[in-house]
Amino acid sequence: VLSRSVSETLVRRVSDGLPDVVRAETVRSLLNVVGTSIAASHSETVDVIVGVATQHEGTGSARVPGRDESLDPLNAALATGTAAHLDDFDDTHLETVVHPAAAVFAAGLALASSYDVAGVTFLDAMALGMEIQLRLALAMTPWHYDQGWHITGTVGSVGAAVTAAHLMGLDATATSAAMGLASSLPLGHREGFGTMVKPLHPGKAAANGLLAAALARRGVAAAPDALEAPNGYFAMLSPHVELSRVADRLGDRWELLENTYKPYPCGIVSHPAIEAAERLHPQVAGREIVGVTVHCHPLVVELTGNPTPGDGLSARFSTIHGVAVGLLDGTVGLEQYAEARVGATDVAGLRARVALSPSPDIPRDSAAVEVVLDTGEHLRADIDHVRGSLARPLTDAQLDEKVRRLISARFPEGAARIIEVTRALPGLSGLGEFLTAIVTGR
Amino acid sequence: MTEMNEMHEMNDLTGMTGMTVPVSRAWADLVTSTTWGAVPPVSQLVARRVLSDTVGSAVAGARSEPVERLVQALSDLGLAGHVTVPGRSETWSSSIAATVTGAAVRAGASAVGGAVGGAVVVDDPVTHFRPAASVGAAALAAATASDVRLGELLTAIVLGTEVGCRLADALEPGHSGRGWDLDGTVGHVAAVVAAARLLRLEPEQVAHAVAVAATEATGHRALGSSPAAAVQAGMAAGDAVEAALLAERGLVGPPASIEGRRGMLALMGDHVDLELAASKLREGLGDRWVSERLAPEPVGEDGDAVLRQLLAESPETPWRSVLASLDR
Repeated sequence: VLSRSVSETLVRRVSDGLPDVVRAETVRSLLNVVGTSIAASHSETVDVIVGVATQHEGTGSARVPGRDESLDPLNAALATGTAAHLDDFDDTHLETVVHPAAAVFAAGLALASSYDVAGVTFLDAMALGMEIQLRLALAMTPWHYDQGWHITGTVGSVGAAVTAAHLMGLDATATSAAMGLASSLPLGHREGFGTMVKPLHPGKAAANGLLAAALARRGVAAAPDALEAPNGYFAMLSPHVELSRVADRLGDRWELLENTYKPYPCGIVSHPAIEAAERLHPQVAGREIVGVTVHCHPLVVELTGNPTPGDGLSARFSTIHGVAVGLLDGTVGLEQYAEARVGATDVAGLRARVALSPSPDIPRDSAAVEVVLDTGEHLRADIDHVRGSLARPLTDAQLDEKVRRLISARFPEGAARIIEVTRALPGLSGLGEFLTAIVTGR
Repeated sequence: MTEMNEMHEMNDLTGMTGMTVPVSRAWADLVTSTTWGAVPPVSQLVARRVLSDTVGSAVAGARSEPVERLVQALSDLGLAGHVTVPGRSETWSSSIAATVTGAAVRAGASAVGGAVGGAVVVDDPVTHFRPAASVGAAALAAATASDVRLGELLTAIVLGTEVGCRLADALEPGHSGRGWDLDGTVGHVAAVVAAARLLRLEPEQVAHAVAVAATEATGHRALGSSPAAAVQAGMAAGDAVEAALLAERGLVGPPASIEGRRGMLALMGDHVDLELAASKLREGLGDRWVSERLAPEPVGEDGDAVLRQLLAESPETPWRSVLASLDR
């Protein structure tokens, strides 16, 4: 009966109105995922999904950010959720490593053209879906992920079902059924990491959750104890479970407030060193660098120690690449991980002059970068808490800037409009303007 | 700490066991090289029995409550297309047609608990995996969408059935013991093999399609015979057709999707010996047909009207004309 009590609490809480701080953080999560979805909207993987849908009778009236095609809601959810997570640049809940916005945004957006709800209803639907994902994830962390499950997919279907149920206006009974049905459809193996299958997981989770809600709306029931039964959701997915974490102060304490937004599109351990390098860029001012030393936590060497990345994916696991390109370009975004920049001779040349100097005394969210110029001059930048960490979350302005750059690759003129409409969503009476903006850039 | 593990995994992209050919690739070679004439007579009978179960149960379940509600939900979402399903007037995309058909097969059988409208329910005597709901439904939808000959449809079905039986053997008994539903989980992978064959994918594409189906494999035994159970069986068929189409268009997955350290056997079995299981999944493919055990004892003694007609049809007959004559 866990799904029943959880859905009753959530439905009651949302009818009272969600706290402002929750809505504000949900807007930030939405803004970030709008950016990542648009940035990846014409990636090869999303092209494949949209291509199959248009070639094989998967069209309809649902839209995908940054795309011209109209798909049926299940295909739209698959495409949007995949795009949202494609560059691994979406939001991250650090304790569970869930990327909670992708699946719920995808499921919600797929319904936006048929359920023209108020902007705040869309936001609340996302908030509920994100919160339930994080609660389920907390109960299985770390055992479930460590075993090899991609937690974003396994909790994503349930989150997407809750989001879709709220947009459809389902009551607590039907919402509970939607959760139960979706809990029988978790998916995602970590074997697929490093391939096109990884981002597919939140996309498929969104589609599964959406179908679960549509079935619940038509009266299909689920086992009331689908989550906690001896052979239920948790029993299948995790060798250990702390069931109490699912409902602990649910509705009063919001785990989604712990959501974070990556400032750089690469592994988090690299971030402090990259921020230090960016900071040194104006001081280097194009002068010749003879040596660079990165003072960092030992995990940097272990996890992102690749000194000679050969392509965009391996560069994401090279702190040395991030530091080199940060010193040269002064900014590290998706462009700095594109093949052209990873293979550029100036970048490769500087990478060869960067050395990692690990020390267990340096915290994980800290780093220092020392540069020696050919003039003999020494430069140094220290980062105590990196941008995007829990201690130093991205400010609204920094998040807007990140999203602006993500959007600009697709809509050079559209970023300001999209950010403005997304931030204004809580006050909008319908979703039309928002949908038009993120689909067309206008 | 888990974020660290996520990145660590991504540094180690292979995760493969030894230097042998990946299981999915071995299956791909089987899928692309098998001809109907090379399938032994007992396995040919198994294919006909599974097809008979599929058609018979799909018709029997076509008006069942789970299918009615599924069709309502799919219509609410605005889904449509041109592919028919047995016993109903709505038409769908090939993947959704597979979903509806699979749900009808499962609902059709559970409605009467065994024989349905004269059709024999064909399940694996060892694991109780029932190929009709996933393999049969996916093959039926893909064949109806593309117009193939009966022999090609039956080949696809026997290939999916064989892979399904071997995979179920590798996962059981710990898999359903933990709560997974074989028709939903193994069904995803078995059905994608059948769909890949009917779409004539290249070997590399077959392996990628298997990877997509494996990571999407899901389904929960606790649902029993509820409407939801029928839907999740159908989703194995529908996701499989979709996975094959995605792979055909260029989607790429991991090589060791089945036997990798973070793959299907490791996550969904109960302490499976990955290397041993992988070798059994590859062993004697095309020579030894594990799925022979789905033939009746003694061979050829059972049967119903649908099966007798299928037994009599030439493999050269177009599937659509077989279907039209079955509809009479």
